[in-house]
Amino acid sequence: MAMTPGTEPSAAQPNQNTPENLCAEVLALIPAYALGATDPEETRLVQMGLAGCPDAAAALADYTALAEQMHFAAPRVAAPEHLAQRLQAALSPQSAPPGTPHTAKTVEKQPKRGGLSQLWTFPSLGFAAAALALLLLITSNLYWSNRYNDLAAQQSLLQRQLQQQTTLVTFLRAGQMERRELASASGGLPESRAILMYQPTAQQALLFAEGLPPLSPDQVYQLWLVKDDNRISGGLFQVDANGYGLLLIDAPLGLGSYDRMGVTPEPAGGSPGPTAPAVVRASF
Amino acid sequence: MPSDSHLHPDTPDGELMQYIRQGDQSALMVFYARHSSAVYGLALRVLHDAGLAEEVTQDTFLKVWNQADRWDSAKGKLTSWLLTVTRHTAIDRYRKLQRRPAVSDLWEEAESTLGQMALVDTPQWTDSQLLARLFAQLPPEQAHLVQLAFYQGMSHSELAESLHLPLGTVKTRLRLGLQKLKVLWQEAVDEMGEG
Repeated sequence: MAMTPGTEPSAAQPNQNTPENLCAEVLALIPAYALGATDPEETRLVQMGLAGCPDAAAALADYTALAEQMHFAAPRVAAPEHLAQRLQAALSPQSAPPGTPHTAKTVEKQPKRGGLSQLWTFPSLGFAAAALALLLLITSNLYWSNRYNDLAAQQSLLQRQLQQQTTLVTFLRAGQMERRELASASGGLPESRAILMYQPTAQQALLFAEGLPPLSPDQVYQLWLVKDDNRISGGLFQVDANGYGLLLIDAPLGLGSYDRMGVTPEPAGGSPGPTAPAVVRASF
Repeated sequence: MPSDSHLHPDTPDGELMQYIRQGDQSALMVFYARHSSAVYGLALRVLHDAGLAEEVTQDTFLKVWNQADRWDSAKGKLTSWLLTVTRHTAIDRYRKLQRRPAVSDLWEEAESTLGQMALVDTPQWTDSQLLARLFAQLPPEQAHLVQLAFYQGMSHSELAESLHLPLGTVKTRLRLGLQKLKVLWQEAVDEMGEG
C-alpha cells in the first residue's frame, strides 16, 4: 500500500468497508502494533481484523520477533555495586515469594532436661544465649552476603576485561593506523592529553588518555564525537591513580568523519550531553 | 532455603527460576549478577536518569521474585520476558513522573547507544547489537521515531504531538522505518547463517 507522508488515511476509519481494505489497513498498522505504538482505536482495529487477515497475522509474528530483539539493542551498563545489596535488603523481609508452598513444619521432640536445655531454667541466661546466637547468625549472613557480592562483581569485571582484550587484539591486528592528539582543555591539567589511534574509515578506534585528573568512584570520563554540530557519546572510561586510561571506541561512523572530539567527566553511567568542561579536546 | 552448593555460575536460567519459585534468594542473586547489566542498561536507556534506573532495576528483580510463576518457558525466552518487564516498568515510571525530555535530547541519546562499549556474552545479545548498528542505516527521521516509540512507549498520536508532525507522516515514517529495519535484520541474519 503506497502512501505519501501526511496523506495516510485514518487507520481506525477504513475508506471502504470491504474485507480487503480492512486487511490492508490492519497490515499497515502491524509494525507499530508489534511495538506497542498504536493508539487505542488502532489497537482495537488490529485485534478485530487479525483473525480474518492471514497476511497480517504472519507479519505480526515477524515484527514481534523484531521488537523482542530490540530489547537487547540497548547497551549493557554495569549496575552500581550497591544495588545488589539494596536488592538483597529488600528481599530480606520476604522469606519466600507469595504462593511458595510452605514446607510442613515438623514437631520437634521435647528435649530432655539437662545440658544446654537447662539454660531455659534460667530465663536471663536463655535470652542471652538466644541473642548471641541471633547475633552470630546475622553476622554470618552479612559476611556471606558481602562475599557473594564481591565475587559476582569480580566475575562481571573479568568478563568485561576479557571481552575488551579480545576486541583490542582484533583491532591492533587490523593494520596501518593514523594518530591524533587531543590536547589539554580548560577542565584538565596542563599535562592532560589523549592519543587517538584510528583508521579513517573504520568505526573502531583506540583512545589512550594520560594525565587526566582521577575521578571519584561515582564518575566516569565520557568521550564525545561531533560531526556537523551533532554530538554523540563515543564511550565511557576510567583512569587509574596516575591518570592513565584506555577506551576502545565503537562509533556509528568512520572515525575520520568526525569534526571534533572531547572528553568530559560525567556521572557514572554517562550523560546525554556534556555536563562539565572538557579535560582534553581536538578539532580535525 | 536450599544451600548455595546447588548453584554455580553456569546454572541455566530456567533452573535458577525453579529455585527462585521455591524461595531461594541465592538463586535470585545469581540471576541478578547475570542479567543486571542488561536490565540496568535498558532502564537507563528509557529513563536517562541513573537513580530512576536503579529503582526500576530493583523493582524488576523484585517482580521476578514475586511473580516468577508468570514466566512460562513455553511462551518465550526468559531474557525476553525479563527485559519486557524492565521496559514496561521503566515506561510506567517515566509516564508517572511525566519526565519527557526534549526530543532532541532523546535523539542524541539514541544515537549514543551505538557508540557505547558493552559486554558481549550471549549470541542473542550479539545479534541485537547488530540490530543496534542497523539503526544507523535507517533514514534519521525514521530511526528517530522507531527509537522513541520503543524506548519511550510513545503512540502514534503522542509522537505526532511531541514532534509537531502530522499524524499521517508519523505513521508512515514509523511503518517504513520498521519495515526497512526488519528487512536489514533478516538479510544480516541470513548472511550470518550462510557464513
